[in-house]
Amino acid sequence: MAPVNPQPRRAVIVGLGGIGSWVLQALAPFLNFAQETWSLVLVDGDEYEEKNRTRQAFEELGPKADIQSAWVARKFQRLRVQAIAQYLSADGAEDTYPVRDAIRSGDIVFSCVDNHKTRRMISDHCAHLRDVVLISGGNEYTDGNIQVFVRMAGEDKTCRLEKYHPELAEPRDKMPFEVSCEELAASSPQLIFANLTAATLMLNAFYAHEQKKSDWQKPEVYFDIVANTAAPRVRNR
Amino acid sequence: MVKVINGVNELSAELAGKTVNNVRGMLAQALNIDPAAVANINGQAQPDCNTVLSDGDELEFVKASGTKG
Repeated sequence: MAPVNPQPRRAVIVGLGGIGSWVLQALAPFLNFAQETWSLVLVDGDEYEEKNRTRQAFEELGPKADIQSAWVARKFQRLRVQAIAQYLSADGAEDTYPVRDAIRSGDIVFSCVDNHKTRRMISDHCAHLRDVVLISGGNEYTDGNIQVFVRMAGEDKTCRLEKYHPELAEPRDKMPFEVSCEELAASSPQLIFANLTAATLMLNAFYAHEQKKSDWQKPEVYFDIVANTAAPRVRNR
Repeated sequence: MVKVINGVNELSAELAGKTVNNVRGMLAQALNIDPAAVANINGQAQPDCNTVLSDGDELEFVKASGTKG
């Protein structure tokens, strides 16, 4: 009997800015040359502007998801790629894309967003999937953290993102489509090295998972680029 | 000895017998502890800031997640 071609595995990157654009830079070649066939789903409702060149990796101005999907399609022809040039929301209202249609059971999810409300929404959705790996990253100017949430066969293998983090359990910020132009213009500055460190630690977590060497007792890693240190922390399920 | 953690920072000191609140005050500057940070002892959340620490305990003030991306 001829072997049946399995469905491609899916990696979803939500947010293609300071962290997500760097995650993609390394993830795309890695997946393209992997043994398995992969499909990449790239999600972002924002556009690349000239000012983003100080710390984000992209070739052209325009809708982030479309620009990066075109780049992947040009450079990595073994990868299938889907662009979702909309922000995610719980219900798909107001020209947003429903999270349930973007993230499915079996996915590896890189949450590279810039607000806790979206992080919580993605975490809540993943907590209802049978199998999922959610790798979430965030940074301030020179420090930050990454968190890994794993579910297998309907069972949590690590603690949920919000368990130790009240700022995620009850986020006080807004999703990008809820933010006014004035609020966007007032956003705080970021450092490319902090974005890169978060991206690298997220990819390290992905690689450890793929190698079946994840330490589920330590699903959170803090970093500080001035101290040049990263520290994994114990989190009980 | 009690190990105290905040983000990437950590130190071990003779703090057995002190309360969580004592340690928060003593090390707030040294470890850059946010006054709102949740305290865990040996991985368990400690809503009572007057909990007394024992030798061998690990006290973590959980640093908030990074916001930006």
